[in-house]
Amino acid sequence: MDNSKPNKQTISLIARRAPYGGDGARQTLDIVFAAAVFERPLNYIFIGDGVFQLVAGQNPKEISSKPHGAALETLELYGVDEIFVHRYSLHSRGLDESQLACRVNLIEERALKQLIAESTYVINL
Amino acid sequence: MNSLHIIAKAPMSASIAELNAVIDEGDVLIFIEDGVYFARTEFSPSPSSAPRFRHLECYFLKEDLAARGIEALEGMQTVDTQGFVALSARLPRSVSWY
Amino acid sequence: MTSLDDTPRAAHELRYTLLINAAPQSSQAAKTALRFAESLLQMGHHIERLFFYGDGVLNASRLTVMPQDEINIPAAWHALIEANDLASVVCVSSAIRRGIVDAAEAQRYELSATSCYTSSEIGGLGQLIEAMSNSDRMLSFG
Repeated sequence: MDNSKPNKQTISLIARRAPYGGDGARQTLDIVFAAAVFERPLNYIFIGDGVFQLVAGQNPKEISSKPHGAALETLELYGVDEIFVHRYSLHSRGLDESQLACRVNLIEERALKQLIAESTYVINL
Repeated sequence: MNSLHIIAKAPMSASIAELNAVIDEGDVLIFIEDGVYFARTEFSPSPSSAPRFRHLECYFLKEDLAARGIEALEGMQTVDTQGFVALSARLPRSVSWY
Repeated sequence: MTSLDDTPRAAHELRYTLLINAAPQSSQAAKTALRFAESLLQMGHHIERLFFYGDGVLNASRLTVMPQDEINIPAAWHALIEANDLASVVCVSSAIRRGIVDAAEAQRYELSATSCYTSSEIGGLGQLIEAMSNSDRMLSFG
């Protein structure tokens, strides 16, 4: 397969780190913004502890950090209008959709594997 | 199309739930760095740890096994770094787990 | 036990982008990436770009001093890049946060020193995206 055709490349970015405790969440988000600016088709997929990035009501002022949830809410402005959340990751952490800061596309394991299988590149920091 | 999963963390530190959610039948796994500690759980399992990935095509990076004093066990496939490169060339896509 | 020592070369030469996302000291990843880069070149493949991101930018610090009996990873990357005329980019936002600066950044921010090997260029994430467009394979190490 010839990967070097920019307009056919899809990049899947797996977000599996919780926000604030480390900078992995922010690092992945910055690549999402860059890929969006360059109009690359992308799948932004939240699994594992990554689902914590989406929880509403984040207020990191007292820990001297930039609000992560708020940054995610600007994704639509960059043309990223769909984010995927692994349902099991969310529910196994005691969360449901109503607690999230934005509208998400809940997916099952089979759909997750399918998104990966259709990607040209996968970034999993 | 299948993926090469590059697993660099030891079994108790690896995100097993996430690995299982993403890894698909037909995917190939290479265990590197601390990931070579999976050799024990996959190839000489104990009552407290069951193999999870043995049924897939798995490789262990030789240099990392040697560093950690892990001997190749019956049924294990090992590669050196050139073999790692060859795997990355063979599969169209890689997913790193660290 | 089977091994793949006599691994046949890939059917054709491939272009790789390598993303290095860990500092040279705090994990093994940078050493693995270095060996991977050396091997892929030996096997006839090409490196489209090296991209150092997050703590990975510390791999470009020319102010690194190691004990005599330990490998100097930044120096090793520098040597590999120069010997093979590789394109190597250090992500600017990760770099300036970590004190990895070149002459231009030092001047811009009125800093008293530079710290980045000149064999790597300080650039943006757009260069990662662009490199991926021109590559056949992308691997991350971290």
